[in-house]
This record gives sequence, structure tokens and C-alpha cells, in this order.
Amino acid sequence: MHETALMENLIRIAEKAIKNHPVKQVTAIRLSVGKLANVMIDALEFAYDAYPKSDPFKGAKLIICETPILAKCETCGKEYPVKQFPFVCPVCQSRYYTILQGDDIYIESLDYET
Amino acid sequence: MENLKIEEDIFSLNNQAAQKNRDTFQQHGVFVINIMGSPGAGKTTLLEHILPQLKQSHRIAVIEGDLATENDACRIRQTGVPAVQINTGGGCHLDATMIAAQFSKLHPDKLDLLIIENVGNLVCPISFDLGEDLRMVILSIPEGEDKPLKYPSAILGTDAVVLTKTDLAPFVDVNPKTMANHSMTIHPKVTVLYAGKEGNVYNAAGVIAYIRDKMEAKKQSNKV
Repeated sequence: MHETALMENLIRIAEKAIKNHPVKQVTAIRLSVGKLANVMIDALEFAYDAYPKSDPFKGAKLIICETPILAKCETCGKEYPVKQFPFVCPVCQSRYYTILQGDDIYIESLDYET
Repeated sequence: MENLKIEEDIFSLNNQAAQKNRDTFQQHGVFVINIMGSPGAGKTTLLEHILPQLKQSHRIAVIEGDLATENDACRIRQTGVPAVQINTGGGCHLDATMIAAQFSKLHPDKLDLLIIENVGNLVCPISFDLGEDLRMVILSIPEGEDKPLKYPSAILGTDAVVLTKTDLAPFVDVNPKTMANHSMTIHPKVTVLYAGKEGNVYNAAGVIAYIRDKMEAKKQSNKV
């Protein structure tokens, strides 16, 4: 996965978000990364550090929280955590599921000083 | 210190562009398929063999994606179907903005079906919605029975898996059924299709029928 390109997205989204706020300095950006999101956290951190940032993002830390995978059984509705394939419902043993959480990368929030 | 909630998907910019594409395709009545797979899995070969039949009943165009060369677009044009080539340079996937730029060059009012052959890659393309109706991931038999287990996101993120080069199974000691079962271990609802040579004839009848069914199903649901 092209973690550098993701950093470009991250900064663009953050820039849009701070537009009407009195931001002097961004101190941290909080990202949640799902375990099924197809990225390596180390690579994301490396790409973030290497990505050239201008004010007010210079010096902002990237704080990454890994999101566990949560599935919902399509047969009985049970929500259950999963660690590896196959995903099997602990209640009815059905293999049909939807992913509720853990397959995306979300920019949760940022911390800033005014 | 203040905290500002953002709560936005890192792919939101592409997702918005993809939704715009979706609306455009819908307006023009074009069904769109995003074909992904490993480099060398046989994506272009599959298209070379299904386009001659599909073009008898549908007006088709193809967008090809590769890092370099026009080779694949040229191969598609040999079948009589118009094709445009995107060269990404170093880019490992196509995105919605690239597709939007090419679509306008393809006479959208004269199209029923757009096929996008993505850059050969089983990781990155999956994360990029292009605005398509249908996704197909192509895996070739020689890549090994456990390929689906090694690339779960690709299997999870697709509607169908096409196992190509089935004729090579005996030479590489791979059981296509096992590969199919592994795909369904990851994604129980995925449709598994096969393509390969039988004698001298390339058989992709299952793929053609599947595409036709999906296009018909969309047509029916649009009428409701």
C-alpha cells in the first residue's frame, strides 16, 4: 500500500477541517486504522514522518489507534470480534457476516493550540 | 489545547469522486466493471476472449491501466472494442478521478458497458472505489491454492473471483476447487468462476454468462 499517498490525503482532509477554526499549531492528528485495512502501521508512521508538512502541521504528532475487527452474523445478528479467517459466528456457526468495524482508516480528530 | 473532531475516512476524497462517477454512469445507462488481479494473472487475455462475444449484444469500451506501455489497450483494440490506456508512471492503482477523465473521451451516450482493467496488483486497487457496478478479481491457477488466503482483502473486496489458466492445474499441482474453497473461506458469498483452455479453445463461458446476468439484474432493478 502506498502509505505516502495516504499521508497526502490525511493532510488535505485535516487542512479542510481546520479552515474556520483559530488554529495556531496542530499538535497531534489521531488516526484509527482497522486491522483489515491493508496497511502496515510502521509504514504509515514512516511515511508521515517523511511527508513534508507546512504550518500549522509542522511538528504535529501522528497518534495511531488500531481498531479490532468486529463482524455481525448475517444469520442470527450476533456481533462478534474476530482475529483470523474463517469468521464463524460463535452462536450459530454461520459463516455469513458483514464487517462492522476494522476495515477502514479513519481520521478521528486533531489537537491544536490557538 | 483544543480537540477538533474530524471523523472522516482517509479515502473520502476518492469516495466522493467515485460517487460522482456512479451518478454519471447511471445517467448514461452504462454498466461498469472493475477488473483487478495480480500482474500476469490473465486479465487482458480474459478480456480478449470475452469481448468478441459480449460486443455482439453490447456497446463496450475498455479503460486499461498499467504503469507503462500501451500494449494492453492495443490488444483490446484488436478485438474491435475501443480502448484507452492510462499510464500511471509509478502509481499502483487507478482512482476515481483518473476514470472520470477518461470516461468523457469515450462517447458515453454510445456505451452500454465499460470495463476497467486495473493495474496488476492485489493490494492497493481494492481500496479505491471507481464508481463501478461490479468487481472481479482474477487469480491464475499457477499462483497457488492458498493465494486467496494470502490476499484476504482482495477476496473480501470483490463480487467475483475468476480462476484463470485452469488448463495448467495438472502441471503446477494445484486443485482449482481448493482455490475456490479458500476464496469462500474468506468471503462465503463470493462467486467463483473459471476460465482456461480446453484443447485449443479458451473457455470463459461462465464469465460471460455472469456478466450478462449482472447487467440484466441491474436493468431490471432500474425499472422498479
